[in-house]
Formats: sequence, C-alpha cells, structure tokens
Amino acid sequence: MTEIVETETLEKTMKAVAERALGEAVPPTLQTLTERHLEKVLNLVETMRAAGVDESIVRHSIREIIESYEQELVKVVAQMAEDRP
Amino acid sequence: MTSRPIKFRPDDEFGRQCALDRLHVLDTPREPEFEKITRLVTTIFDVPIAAVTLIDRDRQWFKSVQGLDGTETKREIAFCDHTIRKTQCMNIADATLDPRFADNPMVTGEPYIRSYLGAPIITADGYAIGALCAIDYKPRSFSPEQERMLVSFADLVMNELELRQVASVDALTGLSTRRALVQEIEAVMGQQRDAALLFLDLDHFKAINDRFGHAAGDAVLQDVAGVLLDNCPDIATAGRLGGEELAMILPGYDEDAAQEVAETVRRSIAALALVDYPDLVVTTSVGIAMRHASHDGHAWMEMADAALYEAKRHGRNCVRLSQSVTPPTMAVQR
Repeated sequence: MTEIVETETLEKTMKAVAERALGEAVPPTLQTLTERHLEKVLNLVETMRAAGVDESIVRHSIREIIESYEQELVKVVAQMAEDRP
Repeated sequence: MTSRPIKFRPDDEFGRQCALDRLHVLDTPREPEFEKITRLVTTIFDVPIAAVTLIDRDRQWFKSVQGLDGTETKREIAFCDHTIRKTQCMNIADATLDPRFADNPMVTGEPYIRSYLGAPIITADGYAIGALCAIDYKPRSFSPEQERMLVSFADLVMNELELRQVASVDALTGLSTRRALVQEIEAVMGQQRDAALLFLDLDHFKAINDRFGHAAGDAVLQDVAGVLLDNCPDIATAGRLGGEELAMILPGYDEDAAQEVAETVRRSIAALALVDYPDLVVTTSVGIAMRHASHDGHAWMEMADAALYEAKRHGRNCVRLSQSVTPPTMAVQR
C-alpha cells in the first residue's frame, strides 16, 4: 500500500476493493458510484499535493478513505441483498 | 479537474430541503466514515474544529464534528448557512472584521471562532445540503490550494452520502425500497400536517407474467415506476413495497390533492403503451389513507391497504379513499 497514491495503483486498489465488496456482478449503480469515488480520491490526491501536504500524510489519508469506503460498500451490498423483493 | 455540478440551484430552498430530506441522514448516529474525514481535516488543515454540517429548515445539524460539543446550532448563526449559497469555498480570515459575522454569538462567545473555511456539499442535482468546514480560534488565511483541497474532501462526503442512498433504491424500478418507504412513513407520521399515503397494486399482474413471461413483468414494473416518478412531486416519495405493490407518500397533501395525484397516476398507467408488448394492457387499483395524529406508521399502512382492497373489490382500475379512521385490526379488537 506504500505506492497507493500513484494513479494506476489507486485504480487497481479501488477495483480490488469493489470486487471484494461486491463480487463479480457489480450492480450498475454501485459501479458508477465506485468509479466516481475513484475520480474524487484522485482529485483529492492532486489537491493535497498542490497544497504541499506531506506525502506520508497523503498516503495515510487515502488509505483511511479507501478502507472506510470498502466497509461502507459491504454494508450497502448486505442491505441491498436483504431488501430484494 | 472538478466534479462540481454544472447546474447549481442556490435559490431553490424548497428543493434543497427536499434533497436533504431524501437522504434520510438527519439525526442519524455518528458514523466512522464521516468521523475519519473530519479528523483528517483537523490534521491536514491544522485546525482545532472541523465538521460535516447539514443545513436543515431552522438548524445546522452536525453529522460529524471534532472540537465542538453538541449536535446542532440554530441556522441563523451558522457560518455554513452562508457557505451553501455558492459552489466554491467561503473563506473568512478574521470573523471579527467581517460585518456578516462580527456580532455572531459564536464569534463574540464560545467557541470564539476567528477563521473559517467551508466547502459546500452539493448533490448530483445541484443542491447544497450542507458544508464541510475547518475552523480556527485564531485569525489565519487559508490558501486557494487549501480551498481546493477542502472542496475535494466535501465531494467525498457527498459520495459517501450517495452510497448510503443506493441501498434505499430498488434496483429494478429505481423506486425507494420497502425499508426506505417505511422509514419515510414514520418520519411523515411525526410531522404535524396533512399527508396522504397511496397504495397501488397492478391488476392481474400474475396473469401478465404467466402469459408474457417475467421479462414482460419486469418491463411493466419499470414503465409503471416511470409513471410514478413522473408524477411524484419533489416533496413526495414513491416506492416498491414488494412484487407488484407500490406506494406513494404525499406530505402536505389533503384528500382532494391526493385523489388528483392518484387519478392522474391511474389514468397514466392505463394509457401505457409498452414498446415490446403492444397487446399488453396494464391497470392499477389505488387505495388512499390520510394521516391521523392518533395512528402510528403501521396503522396508516393498514388503512391504505384496506382502501386498496376496496378498490379491488369495486372492479379494479379505480381509486378508493379510506373513509374510516380506525385501522382494520383495531376495529376487530373492539
């Protein structure tokens, strides 16, 4: 996870997060949201660097954000499965 | 790179409040996802206070806050109420020198706010429902780069809120799930105003599935959901209770207005022409129950269901308004 803030690595990490949480059949709405989340995380990395934030803090922040997003995805998928008519 | 919406609606307060209400986030417990973001903001911006605030009708409510006690303040003294009027950050270097805030009790008294940076939290349809803010006890200038960074964090907050909303949307129809509907019914029950609950059931839906197949049944449900959404005012909620049973909650509607909506929906469904199934005729029966202060959500749903049963009994493809104020199970108990 040390190189997580590199764009390509971040994309792979987010993809892995989505696969772990959602399995292979990702519902389209969640797919769109996850892609948008990646875009926003990348944007955050860019703005943090532009603001001169220390690289170790950038890494720590992104790790925290991705971990909590994964936990939330799992909760959402569980609720969707429970609510299926 | 920017992900701010193109169409911002700063002057539509009614729509803004509806957008906030639809998220069902007010008065929910603290959650780690938002706590992490406010903690990161305090660290990265080196400030003692950071908050995710949501601007409700007459208060600002904190979904997450670091460095402050309490869960809400009056809206009239909220810095963030000013932040939601623009798409970009509000940056106050010294509140004592700003005529909008110099007399604010949060500046003249605890917590003695001096500097403030706030980024609006904007929904995909352009409503600023709240703000993410960084606050200091001493005057300071936040840089344009810090402004952009806070906007990025605010965008992440919005994405987290949207993710929660996905779970309350039925995947097939795009309507609210039963869980979200029941939650909304309970919320409307607690408001001191008129409200109507419509229960809809597609007539002979099983026969449609049997004759045309389940793909046709799904297509019918999707088209009918489209009718509901087209006729669903901003303030209202349309949902799927299960199978072919649907519902609409109309807060602020009296009997006449609710019947008008129900009739419009019923007629629109009867007029549906399904592209792939031209021979298929779809009709619906509708039951309406008005909110009574003495009921709970369960009783209200029972009343709507009883009215729907009446509509079925009277030949289907019609609307019936509950005339009773006593839910069926309570009547049986007497």
